[in-house]
Amino acid sequence: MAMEYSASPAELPADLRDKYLALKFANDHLEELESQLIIARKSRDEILKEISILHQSRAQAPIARVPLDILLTIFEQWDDDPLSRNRTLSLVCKTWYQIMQNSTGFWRDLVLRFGWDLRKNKSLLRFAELCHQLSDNQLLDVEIDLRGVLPYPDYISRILDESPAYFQELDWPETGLDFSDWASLVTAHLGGSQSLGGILYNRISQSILRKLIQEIGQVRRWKSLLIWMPDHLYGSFVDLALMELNGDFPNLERLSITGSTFGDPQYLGELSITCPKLRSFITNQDINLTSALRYFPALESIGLRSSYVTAQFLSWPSNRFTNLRKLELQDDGYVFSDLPNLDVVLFERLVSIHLSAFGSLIERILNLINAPMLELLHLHQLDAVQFRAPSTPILCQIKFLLIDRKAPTTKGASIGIGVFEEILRQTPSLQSLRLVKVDWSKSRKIVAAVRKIRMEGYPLTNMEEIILVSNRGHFLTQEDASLTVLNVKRLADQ
Amino acid sequence: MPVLLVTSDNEQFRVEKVVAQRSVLIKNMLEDVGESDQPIPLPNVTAPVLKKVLEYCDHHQTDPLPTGDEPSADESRKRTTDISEWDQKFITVDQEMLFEIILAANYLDIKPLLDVGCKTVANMIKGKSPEEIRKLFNIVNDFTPEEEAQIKKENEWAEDR
Repeated sequence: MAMEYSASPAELPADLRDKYLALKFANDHLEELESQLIIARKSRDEILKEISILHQSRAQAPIARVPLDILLTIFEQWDDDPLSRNRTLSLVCKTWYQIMQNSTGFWRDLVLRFGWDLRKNKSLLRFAELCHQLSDNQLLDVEIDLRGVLPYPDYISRILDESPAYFQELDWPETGLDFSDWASLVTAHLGGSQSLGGILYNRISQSILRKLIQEIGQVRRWKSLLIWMPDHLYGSFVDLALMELNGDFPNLERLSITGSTFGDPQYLGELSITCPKLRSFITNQDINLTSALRYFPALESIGLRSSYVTAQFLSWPSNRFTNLRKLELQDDGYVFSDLPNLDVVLFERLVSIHLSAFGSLIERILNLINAPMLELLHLHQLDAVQFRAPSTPILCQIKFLLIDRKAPTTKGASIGIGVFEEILRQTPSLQSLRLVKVDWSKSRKIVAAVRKIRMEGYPLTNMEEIILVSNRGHFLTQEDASLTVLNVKRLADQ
Repeated sequence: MPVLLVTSDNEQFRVEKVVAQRSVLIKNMLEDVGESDQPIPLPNVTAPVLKKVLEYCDHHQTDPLPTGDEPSADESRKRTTDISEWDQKFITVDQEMLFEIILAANYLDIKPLLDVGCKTVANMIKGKSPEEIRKLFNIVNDFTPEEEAQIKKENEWAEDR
């Protein structure tokens, strides 16, 4: 409380006068603080009022009464496009955001697709990190889809316009130019010579691809990695890019590298990655696998859709693949036919083979494979030349056999029925035979062959059906039919 | 034998036991009390909602009861949001009633009805923007601009695809 004093300040002694002045300042300050307090209180009341209105509004919304576990069930029903779901629902309100953040299931099993848009890939890498955290460190599926880019100058121009910073990070060792010189050079030529534009274009694309694979490859938390290479780029482009993918991938279970094959066999890029858990590997690229195969000990399924990799695989000691159950090989005859004699390879647990090859090679490849557990064989013939049945017992346990041919032709339609008969003699366990666009697909010939085999003493007791599929009606007994099912047991009764 | 159900607003519904037992809650109560004429109180359900729920139970009274061997959450999620024609017509109600039915189905433990309700809401949400969802359900955006920007940034990629 301020002390009253009747004398004017001027009459007071100097020391006391100073004290009274200080007291006045203190009182003024207090007053000021009090008025500020009043304003702050008013402001707080306003906020409280707004909060109350918000609460009332929320309470009025029927959905606000739904318990969180039911809300979660509702969210789970939105099953298509999970990425869009996660983003949308997280942005509705804090409650929904919390539900999304706390439900690890929403962040698992997401397929993250990387493409050519460089800026998006940067944000996708960040998003991948987020998914990894929110999914309780779940491993992620990744697709790198590089097929969308078109080899047109305006596309390159757009990339240069949109992501110049990205290009500045790239290394241009072969040109010796810095980015701005390089960009000028490209721009100058894009409108001119198509071939030079194409070469430059290829160089840019390759740089992008290498960088991408490098960046994405650095993340070791992928469960599956599917790389779709561009179809229209040439040279050893792909091989060089793949060389960026190296090192240990301790969690990778599925790896697929596909695209057009323009690799130069003289300069096969070497894939040198170590994947101790890899269960499935597919490629159609002409890459050197000799190192990689050594480090894929857990493979259960392998798809090699190129002569080069097929030949490498068959030359490789089979005891490396003790878990292999499914094998897909392709040989268009350019490499494998030149290889010297190879040893027969034992695959103890193999149950399925899909072989694409010219007729002249089918027998040779099958004769190289010893698979005592084999149950399913799909032969995809790349030409119309008659092939011979294998001379080994590889067919003896087969239950399902599919034979198809790449292109239909009427030429030589009568040949090959002898092979069909030979196959039936070798497959006592066969249950179902499907023939697609094969020369023998005339049902009367098939029926005659089945009867002949039975009379020879092969009862075909397990065989239930022969399915003939053709896109040309005249291969079949019934005109215009595309599919005929011969019930073999019924044939026996006739 | 009919069963007497009493709602929170004190209305009584006399329904066939087979219909009432579509609710696992009522089924268990009936099993607990055995043969009895005592009314079953349902303090969390009002008469208009129970009427609607009983309409559903009556229509589905011959459906097989859900067993414990239901598909996992993942599997049922993959079954998408298909709803039969009758159920669709049944669940075409205003939002207030829709969520009341969901709450009642949850309380009475009628899983197929709860599924229909959840799928209906999911179908209303799917493909909409956050703003459209807020508007649809009268939800207040309680994010600060900074928080909203941060979430958008985290999910930037999903938006730009």
